[in-house]
Amino acid sequence: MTDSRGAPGETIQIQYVPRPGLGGLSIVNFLLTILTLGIYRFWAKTNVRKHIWSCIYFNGQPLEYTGRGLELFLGFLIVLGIFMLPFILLVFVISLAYGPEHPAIIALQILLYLIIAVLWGAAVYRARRYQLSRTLWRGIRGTLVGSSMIYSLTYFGSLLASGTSLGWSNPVLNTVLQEQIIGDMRFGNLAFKFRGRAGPLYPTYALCWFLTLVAIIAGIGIIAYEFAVLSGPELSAAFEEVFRDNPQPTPDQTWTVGTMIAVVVLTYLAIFLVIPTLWAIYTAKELATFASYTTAGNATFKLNATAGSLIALVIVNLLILIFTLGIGRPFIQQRLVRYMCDRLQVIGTVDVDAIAQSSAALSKTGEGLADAFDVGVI
Amino acid sequence: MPVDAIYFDGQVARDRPVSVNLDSQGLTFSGDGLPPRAWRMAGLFAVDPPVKGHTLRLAHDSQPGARLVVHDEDFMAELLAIAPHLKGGFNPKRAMKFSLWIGLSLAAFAGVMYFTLNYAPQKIAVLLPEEWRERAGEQMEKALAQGAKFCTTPAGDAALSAMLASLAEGDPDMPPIKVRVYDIGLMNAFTLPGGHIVLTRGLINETSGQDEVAGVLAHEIGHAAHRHPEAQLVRIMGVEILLSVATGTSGGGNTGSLASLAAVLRSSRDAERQADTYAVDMMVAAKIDPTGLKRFFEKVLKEEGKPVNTTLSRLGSVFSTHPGTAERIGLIKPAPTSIPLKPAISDSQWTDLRKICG
Ligand SMILES: [Zn+2]
Repeated sequence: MTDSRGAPGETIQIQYVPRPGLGGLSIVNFLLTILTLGIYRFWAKTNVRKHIWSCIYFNGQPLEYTGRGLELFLGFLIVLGIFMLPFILLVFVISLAYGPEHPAIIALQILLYLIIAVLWGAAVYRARRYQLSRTLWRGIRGTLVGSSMIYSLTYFGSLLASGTSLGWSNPVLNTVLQEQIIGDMRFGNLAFKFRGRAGPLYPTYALCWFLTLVAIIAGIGIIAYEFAVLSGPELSAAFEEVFRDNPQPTPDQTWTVGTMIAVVVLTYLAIFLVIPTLWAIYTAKELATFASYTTAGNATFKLNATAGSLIALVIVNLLILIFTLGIGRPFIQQRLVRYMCDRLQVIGTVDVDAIAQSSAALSKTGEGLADAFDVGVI
Repeated sequence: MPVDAIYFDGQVARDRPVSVNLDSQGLTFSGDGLPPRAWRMAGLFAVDPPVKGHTLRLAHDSQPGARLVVHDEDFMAELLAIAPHLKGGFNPKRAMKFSLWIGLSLAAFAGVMYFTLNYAPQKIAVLLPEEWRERAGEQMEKALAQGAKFCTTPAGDAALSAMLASLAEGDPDMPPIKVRVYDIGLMNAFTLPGGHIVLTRGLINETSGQDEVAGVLAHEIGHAAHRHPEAQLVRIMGVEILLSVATGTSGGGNTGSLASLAAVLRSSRDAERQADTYAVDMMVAAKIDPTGLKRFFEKVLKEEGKPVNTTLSRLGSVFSTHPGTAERIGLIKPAPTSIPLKPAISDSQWTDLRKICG
């Protein structure tokens, strides 16, 4: 590395080297979070990040997470104080003054949801900026140099567009959002760039979209067929009998109602399992495409994301979450990070020795909005 | 003996090989064209807790971002011997500090809870404008009646007003009261914000004299005079706010539900005692026999233990705060014999009142 001065740069190897201790950390975090009625969660999150970051190696040097629980806690208090508390007090006073069913309260609630929708993007952006600014590699930290409000408005616009276009705007607007956030990303003075069109995403998107439509129609069809086969006065009589106060149905009636409910529930469940599985195809395509659109220095990225591996990742994560009653959440985060580390390749070279610290000021608090909205970030 | 290390200065990503010297004051290192630098022991920290056989990453408060990476077991052992504070892990001083923080936070939380639940509601209740209390009372009365018929006859209303008037003689500062009778079979009485008092047909029919009803009414007026329902209303809203703050959600504003109605109607034992005392004082001053309330409680005592499972009975009421009906009976003393007593309303008015629900 030190000998490479004068050369255009060096290739970058990414490696995840697990370290023992995450299990104990998870249990301690869980217990302290309960003991402190949830307040410890900021410190818990920080400890987990410290652990996971320190397992990620770029060319033999680990990342380092320098954030502090207190910063997250202060961020939370600030958002609570300037954003949530006034709203809660207003609802309190209005329901005291005009009763709890006053339309002003519903209007306020709608306003709150609207504000949350408008600020959601800002929360995502600021959380990302905080994490980058608390990430050190070889003593250099990252950041986002743009405006969280511009990102937030784009994000809100993309929500509206997605609703009105039945989702068809998603590939374009996801690309725009990714371009903004990657274009704003810096590691020291090394700028990341994102360039590419949404077009190549559309065939996969269309496939998933139509398959989803087919799944929904099939589901409705199955239920409708079931109703058609069983319909008639016997069906309504059976339902009335089973659901009255003191039911005494014949075995036939029980069977009819039982199958009916079973079919509806199973179809419903199947649709809810099939649809996210279908969309893993698109997610994999989008992740891989976005990685290939990203450059830093003379390097581009290549992410080997596949639908199958994503589905396996998510299913195992869900199982971990369920069987550890949520205590194992840090392992889920580790698995997500590890998935990226194992499958991300940097192609080309980066002149690491030339990277200098950026002079961007560090914020003193972190992620307030993201915590308040429970934005899904690691 | 100097050892080899890699140094990042926190300004550029370039790594520099340096050789490090350790003494009791701290570290000095130089190399690769770097002028000698010194990191004193105070301010020196390990990025991760040092583990034998692993790389040691050192940093110093005086130079944010700068890192010294050493991979030498002897060096690590020597350094930890001089500066045990680098070990991290369990540290009694830090554990003390941490427990102190937890203790203080819990104490602060308990303080906030106590203030929110015990002290503040009664104070805020007194400050609530007339209009607000009236509106809340009106709405809750509607919710409570659940569509039951509102009983009114000219003669019955006159009898009720007469009872209120003769009780009012006992307290010149009695707050404005609106009593209404609803066609509900259950024997019960409720006080809502804004001086709204609800009596049931069951109460009027199953009592055996006007003084018993007057006693219950006086007790309810006691709640209204002490603003107990308003305080309870403020209390549930306070709890809702605390809950939404603690959980980070924005729930709230659901005070119209049956559950919160039940909470408003549930009085503490202290509140019941206050209302009983108020009732007895009021009745004695109004020259009405206070043992009417006592006889009523005795009737309730007989009823307790009977299973009840209607929504209204689950709402709780004046007299069903479980332990203590007997105790409360004991606290009601007859009026001094020197006071000439009169019935709360005349017998013919009592007959009219009993017919108010037709
Ligand atoms: Zn009472």
